[in-house]
Amino acid sequence: MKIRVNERVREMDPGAMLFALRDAVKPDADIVILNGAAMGADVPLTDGDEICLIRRGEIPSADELEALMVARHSPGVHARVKSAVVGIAGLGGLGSAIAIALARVGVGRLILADFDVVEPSNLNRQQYFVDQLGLRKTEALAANLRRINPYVALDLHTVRLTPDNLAPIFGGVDVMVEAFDRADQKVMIMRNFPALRPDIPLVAASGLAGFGSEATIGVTPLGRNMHVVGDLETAARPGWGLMAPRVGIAAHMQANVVLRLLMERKTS
Amino acid sequence: MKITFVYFAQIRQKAGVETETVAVADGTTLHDALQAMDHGTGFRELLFDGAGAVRAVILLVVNGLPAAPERVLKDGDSVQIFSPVAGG
Repeated sequence: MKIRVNERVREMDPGAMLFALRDAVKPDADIVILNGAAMGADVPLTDGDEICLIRRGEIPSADELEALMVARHSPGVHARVKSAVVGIAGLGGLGSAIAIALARVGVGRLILADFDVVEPSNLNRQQYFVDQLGLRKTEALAANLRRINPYVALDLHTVRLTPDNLAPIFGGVDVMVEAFDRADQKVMIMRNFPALRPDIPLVAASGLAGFGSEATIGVTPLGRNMHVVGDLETAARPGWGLMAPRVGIAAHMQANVVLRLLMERKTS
Repeated sequence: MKITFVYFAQIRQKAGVETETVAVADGTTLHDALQAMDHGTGFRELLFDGAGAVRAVILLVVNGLPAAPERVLKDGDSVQIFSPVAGG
């Protein structure tokens, strides 16, 4: 019979027992999960069982984590995502959530740029923690990403982005993400990146403030290679602030556009 | 020569149309074509600052790629005009 142990297929004899398998594969495992349930008692295994053996606090190796990713995303998807480079300009409510989503799906390299530090007002929607106040966003987000997937390569740039430094920082990406807060900075990226790399998609955002309908957030194609996520109209303003749910919807929609574009791209 | 303009979001609201085709003279720049449009003060104030320059928050796209206001238009050009709003 065939079972899966930590996402790898394994051939077993009929009548094999769960704890004997643990002792043979990972004797130091202190948590044994069988088909989604933590097991305190030994049981016989059956064909198709899925077993996860965990030692508390142990970080899986790169190979083990990759096996998990492959199992969850299928081999063809994982290989494409793993070879990808994605640039993110701005690590606020959008950028921090996009980076986390892309790290979780196993994007191989993230190029992250933001000049700012984590402030108390950021915690209402941005993916930082109260003990990270005052840290540079690049470094705080890198620490959080490494806790999720320590094998994603991170290029950190604690700089204010300008038309002049886009090429050295983001010139080699497969997909570019605009995740700024200010409208003029959004236009700076949307004006200059397509001029720099017209062949590379740019995923931007506009219109995600407040708590209005989530159904109005969509993806609008613009120009040859831009995709704008949001309702295009709802600006952040006094009394109508940026809030975690709607910002999160837009961020994850941006991340999904990135993933879709990566899967659609031609590879040499 | 004829130029097609496509407006988005609040610019579309101010223009009152989603798209339109406008006849302009040879040598007309994008800036001049927009200045000559008759869509009212709301449209003009959205696109231009007090000195008559295109605002920094306005994105002009000609035939799929970003373009400067000084761009000289050619017959058949397609212009998209978008202004993202703050928030991120």
